[in-house]
Amino acid sequence: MKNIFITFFYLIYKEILLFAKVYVSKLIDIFIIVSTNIIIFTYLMPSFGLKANYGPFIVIGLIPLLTLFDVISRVYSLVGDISENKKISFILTLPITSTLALASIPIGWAAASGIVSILVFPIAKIILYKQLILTNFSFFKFIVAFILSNIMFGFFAFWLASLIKDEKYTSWIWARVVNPLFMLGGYFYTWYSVFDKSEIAGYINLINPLIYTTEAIRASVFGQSGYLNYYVSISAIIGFILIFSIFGIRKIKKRLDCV
Amino acid sequence: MNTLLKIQNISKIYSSEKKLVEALKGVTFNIYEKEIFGLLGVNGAGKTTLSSIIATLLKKTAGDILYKEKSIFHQLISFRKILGFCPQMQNLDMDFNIDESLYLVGRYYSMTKKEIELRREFLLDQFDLKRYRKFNLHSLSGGYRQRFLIARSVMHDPKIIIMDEPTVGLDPKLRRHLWKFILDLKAEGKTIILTTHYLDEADILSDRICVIDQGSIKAIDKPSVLKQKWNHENLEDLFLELIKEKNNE
Repeated sequence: MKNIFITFFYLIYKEILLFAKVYVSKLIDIFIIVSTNIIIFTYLMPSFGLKANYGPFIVIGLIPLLTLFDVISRVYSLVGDISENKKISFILTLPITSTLALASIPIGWAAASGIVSILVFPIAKIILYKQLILTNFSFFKFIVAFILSNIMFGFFAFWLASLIKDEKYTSWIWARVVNPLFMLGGYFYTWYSVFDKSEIAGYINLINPLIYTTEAIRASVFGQSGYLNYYVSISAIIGFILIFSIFGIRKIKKRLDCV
Repeated sequence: MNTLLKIQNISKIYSSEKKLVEALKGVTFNIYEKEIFGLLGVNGAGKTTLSSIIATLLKKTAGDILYKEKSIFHQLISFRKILGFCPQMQNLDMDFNIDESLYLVGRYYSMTKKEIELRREFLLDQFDLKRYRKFNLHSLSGGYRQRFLIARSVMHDPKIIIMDEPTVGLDPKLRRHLWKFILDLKAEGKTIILTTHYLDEADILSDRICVIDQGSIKAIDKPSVLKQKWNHENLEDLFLELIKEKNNE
């Protein structure tokens, strides 16, 4: 049993090592994304009537969002691998169950992407300094929400990859999946702001898994007031992890026809 | 000779776009301990399907494979530990260098750092890869990648090694070198299942060969016995006759 976990751990570690090779480039990306968001939403948008605290609100919402964007970009290579290269077949001959071998892929993605997206927080604090108020910050709640959100996005991307037959069919991902998820995922607003406008719209919005991650992370940073109950969000994220992992792994196993 | 693996009535049916293709039709044979078992057949004969099923990579449709009288599919993890698989396709993580890749493979098999170090140096020497050890795999030529692929499959010192057309794309010198390596593995007590297109290779290396065609076994025995039985001097003539006979049926 111990050996299975060693194999599992090193399969995840492999994804982190791969990511480490492009870490500096990713770091530059993050710095540009965070700083432009801060400039626009903290210093420019208030002149159009937005509150000055909208900048910190947006920047904290970026944390789960950046993981989503990063893991989605890996869908293409996995789809290509399944349909052509079959690099994945190597891990399916290792001394580990196929389910765990496959699960290591999205968890590895989540870990690797998390290493970069977590940096949003200190970068934002440095740039915003006193404007990012952390009096209600709960480190424990933040870490739990952050880790679970990353794992959920990892399995979400994995499940997406399982649905796409061929690399040439991947073009719809951004338009049909990522864009609505992002626009309606609570990045620009809180769930209660939608619910206050229309209860039905609020309930419909709960279908979007992104809303739970932005709400949980903001609740852990800014405090519970004004956000979905933290524990409800965490439970929903765990539920989505189960759904995406079960369906994703099952579908990929079927496609690869593996033991 | 002691039987190592019992392949019992293995069938494989692929279904694609509402069509069923029977790749293996109830294949039954034994693989003995410490032998080199050559699997021969034309493209699409079912060799890769069979070797992938033995490697526990692919699901079987029916039948079973027994190792120590127990289905390998019921002792998947312990069986995979003693198995090395060198696939036909170079399924490599191209962004790693040789050192990193072999290190990770060692860790996947729970080898200690010391064991990894020793084994890695041995394999780098064997496959003349030392000067390329810090090269990313994508920057290596196809031949060197193939060397690495074989080295990777034996990194954890497995008892059973499946090599699916390992010498394809290799120059004659390296091909001969690999033959020696395979014979050394056999001398160490390993069992090797060798899938190949090259009949000279099968003739020289294999203790027994199995000619497979359209998912069925056509003949299985020692090359010398088969040649005598079918009254042919070389394996190529024998192979062509077996394939022709099958196609005429």
